[in-house]
Amino acid sequence: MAELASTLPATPPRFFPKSLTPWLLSAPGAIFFLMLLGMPLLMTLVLSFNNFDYAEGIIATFSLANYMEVVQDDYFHEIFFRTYVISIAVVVLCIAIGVPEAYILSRMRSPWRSLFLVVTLTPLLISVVVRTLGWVLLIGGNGLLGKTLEGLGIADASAGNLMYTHTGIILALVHVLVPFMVISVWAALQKLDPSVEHAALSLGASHTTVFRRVVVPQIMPGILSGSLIVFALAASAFATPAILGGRRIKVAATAAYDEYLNTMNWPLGASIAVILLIANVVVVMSYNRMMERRFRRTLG
Amino acid sequence: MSYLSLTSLTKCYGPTTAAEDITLEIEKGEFVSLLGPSGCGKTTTLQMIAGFVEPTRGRILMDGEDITHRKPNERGIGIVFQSYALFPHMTVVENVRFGLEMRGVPTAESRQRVGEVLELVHLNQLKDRYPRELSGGQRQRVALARALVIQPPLLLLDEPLSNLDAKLREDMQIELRNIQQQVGTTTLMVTHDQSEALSLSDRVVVMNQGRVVQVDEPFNAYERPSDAFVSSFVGKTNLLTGLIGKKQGDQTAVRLGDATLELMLDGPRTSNQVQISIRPEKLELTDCASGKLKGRVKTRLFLGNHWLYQVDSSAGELFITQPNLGKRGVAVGDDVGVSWSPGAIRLLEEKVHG
Repeated sequence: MAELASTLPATPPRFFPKSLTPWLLSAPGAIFFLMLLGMPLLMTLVLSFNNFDYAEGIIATFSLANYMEVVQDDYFHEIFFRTYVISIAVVVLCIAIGVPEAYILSRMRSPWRSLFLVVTLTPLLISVVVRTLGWVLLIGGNGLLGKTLEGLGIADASAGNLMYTHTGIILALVHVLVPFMVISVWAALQKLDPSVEHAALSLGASHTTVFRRVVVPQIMPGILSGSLIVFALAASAFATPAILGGRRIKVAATAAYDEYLNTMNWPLGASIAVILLIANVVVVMSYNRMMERRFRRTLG
Repeated sequence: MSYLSLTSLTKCYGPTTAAEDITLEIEKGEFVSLLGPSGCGKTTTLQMIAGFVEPTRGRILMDGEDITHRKPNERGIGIVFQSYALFPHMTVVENVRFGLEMRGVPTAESRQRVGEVLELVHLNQLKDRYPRELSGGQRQRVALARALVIQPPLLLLDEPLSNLDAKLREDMQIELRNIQQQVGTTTLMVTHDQSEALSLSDRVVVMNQGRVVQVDEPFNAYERPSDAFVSSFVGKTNLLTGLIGKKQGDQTAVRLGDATLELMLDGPRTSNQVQISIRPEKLELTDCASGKLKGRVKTRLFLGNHWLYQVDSSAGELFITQPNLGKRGVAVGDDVGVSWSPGAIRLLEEKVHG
């Protein structure tokens, strides 16, 4: 018997202590993440503290000169101000379009509902660049909008030219981002108990009152989280403002791009990028805090 | 003229009929229950009265007015939903006040009425809580207060107690009955729980497969069920088949296992069989010799205030309940006799085929 037992293979020797296992298992993902996201971010941060000279290029020093320039220069104030005005306008329009859209979708009958939901979401499958170029065809100098206005005799063809205007950028960004609002509100609507609306009806409320007083307050978390997504994506959007706004209407993302690739002032571009990132994180975090406090008691 | 009257109310969904030819008269101040298994059409009927489902045929009259096609928000009916359907983003007071706001009741009057109704359901202490901060029973009472504050001509209760645990359900039954009698609102309740229907209502409407089977007082529905479905759905029963034998005078001999009963059969019978219903609590266990039927105890369950026996007898399997009088009764495997008093037997009407 003793001999038999000894022939059984012993427990294989452990190379690592047991407590390390979860760390080791998540290591490949973590390394991948750090290499591809953490490192470039860190390098951008380091770069933003360097100096730049047109004759000598990047000088590896540590100074806050780039940040001082962005903070003090009216030119950059305007760019950041514009970025946030555009983002807020996009959020407001996305709420105005996306919330009723999601509500109507959720009220549709069986085959139509899933069909229209897919229709709403398919734009996400097409590249932003392609969709924005589509907008150029519509609102460009000789675009469909101008031609139509002229053809109907309403206005001059130039009135339909929305290239290099805030309106054009906002319009295209709303088109790109409204599905995110719809998804977010849709998810919130799925959690509603339909008999709550029936209860409000039975108490004498009209359909509009039910929507305003009963449905909207309940899907508020969905609207707010949708706004967050739309705001963050609009504030950091690059392709749409670059194509429709070009050099004339710069936002933070396109300004950073220009500093990198045209002025070759990488450190200044990096500091713009870092400021944009920090500003977005601050806005998103404080908004989230506010939301959580507001809905903890009522909707959990 | 009754207060609420349903005439041939029917709802079809394509080829399936959810509710068929529902005709019912409810008096003012009455508490009526629609009782039936799930899918019997009771909820569809309730929703047609509430206005959430459009009837295919038939009419609904309330206080002499035809409300069949009136919009739900113009009917003024108070409804307590199964899920309570409270507004989660409003406090208790705001929930209760909502209906008054919709009616444009002045602030001072509205405050007073909300206060009164919260007093009625004992929720004054919790009026600034949100629904998710309340227990199931408390939510239930908010839902009731919200429906009652508008002083509705009719109160509909959709399975109001089914989400509560057993102990709370009993307390709420008593409270619900008290409140209804205090306020005097005509009430229609939908439930699948027969004990709830029996204990709360003035009249019970038993439904099955989209149709009304029996409308009666709770005591009558239990004691004189019209058919096999009612007798087995309202309370527990033993359904037995007897063989019709010789007729002597107005008494007919009916063979039930090894027993022969002398019964009054009303009307002619087409078959030689008759269905008999005996409630488990009306059967008695005796010793072998004196029972009308002989049997053997198969299972015995102790249920606190009573024992439940399953007895194999010559007439088939019988369920028998005996009150717990502090003694251990017969044991499993014992041979017993089964007896009953003459009034305990109920003959069921023949199913009319066609």
